[in-house]
Amino acid sequence: MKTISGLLASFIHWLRRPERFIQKLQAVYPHCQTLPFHHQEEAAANQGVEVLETTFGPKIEGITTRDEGQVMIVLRRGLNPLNRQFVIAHELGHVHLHLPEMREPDTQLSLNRNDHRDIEADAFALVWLMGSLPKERLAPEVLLYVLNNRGMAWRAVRVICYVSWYHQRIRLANRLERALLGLQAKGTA
Amino acid sequence: MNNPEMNRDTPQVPHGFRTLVKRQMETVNLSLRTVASEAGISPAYLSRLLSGERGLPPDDTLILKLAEVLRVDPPERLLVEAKRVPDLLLPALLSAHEAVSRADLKEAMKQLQAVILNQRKKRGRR
Repeated sequence: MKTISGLLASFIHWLRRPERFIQKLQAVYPHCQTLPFHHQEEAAANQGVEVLETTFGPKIEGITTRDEGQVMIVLRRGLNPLNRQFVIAHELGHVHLHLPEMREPDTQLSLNRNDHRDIEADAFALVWLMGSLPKERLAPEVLLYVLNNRGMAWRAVRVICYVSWYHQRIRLANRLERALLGLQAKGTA
Repeated sequence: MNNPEMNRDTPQVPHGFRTLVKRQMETVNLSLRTVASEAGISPAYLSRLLSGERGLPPDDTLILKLAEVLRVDPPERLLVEAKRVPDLLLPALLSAHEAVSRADLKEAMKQLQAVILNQRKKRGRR
């Protein structure tokens, strides 16, 4: 019984993740300074984030980390200028949404990759960058960006899926929560 | 400093160190003789170092000198390859949108560690 309740609670927690993400995004966004599209590095600096470059393999675009209280975004050297703006915005998403909840790992430098956090950082970047573009330049810039970046369409689809099931997920979470409460009430009775 | 992985007392030069030195010699197009001369060591010693017959001295001066001659960026990367620094305790989020192999990941971690050590040094200087 305890196991079922535990599993159900974990599932509800997972269902509610987009809700927590949107709450965080709403809390962070008004505090983010809106700067022109091509000034993302300045936006990072204004938030006390260092942007550095180094030689990473071709598949790795950037890494966000924290050392001695300093937050750093380390980018792959040689990113095209447009992609560079997007990667900084994506990494800023990690800085605001995910880094605060990451504790220092026990043993060594550990890299987390390819999970829901990436989708959330993409969503953050899209909101952040679109807010910084004048309307007349929005379509050409975004089109240029998508044409310049293989895999961007897939990333956009992932963001849309993540957000589009929002209401269904929350409705299901609410129902399951009621069921869980019922289960717990039966258990104690 | 008691990390058994660290190569301060052991004579064997780690494979990663030798590979990086050889790769950089090709990249910057410098001969063994030129590298040895600019680093202030004999070509014979450098040759034995790269073949694994000789070990590195206990202090880091030669490693950093070699990094400078070979334009390793950041120079601390050569210290990481020589296993002269302990693993850092850091949270890090990697952004990669294609499948990354274990080797790519290991390489990125070493490079990140070198960048962070370099930043720590710069912060210390300020």
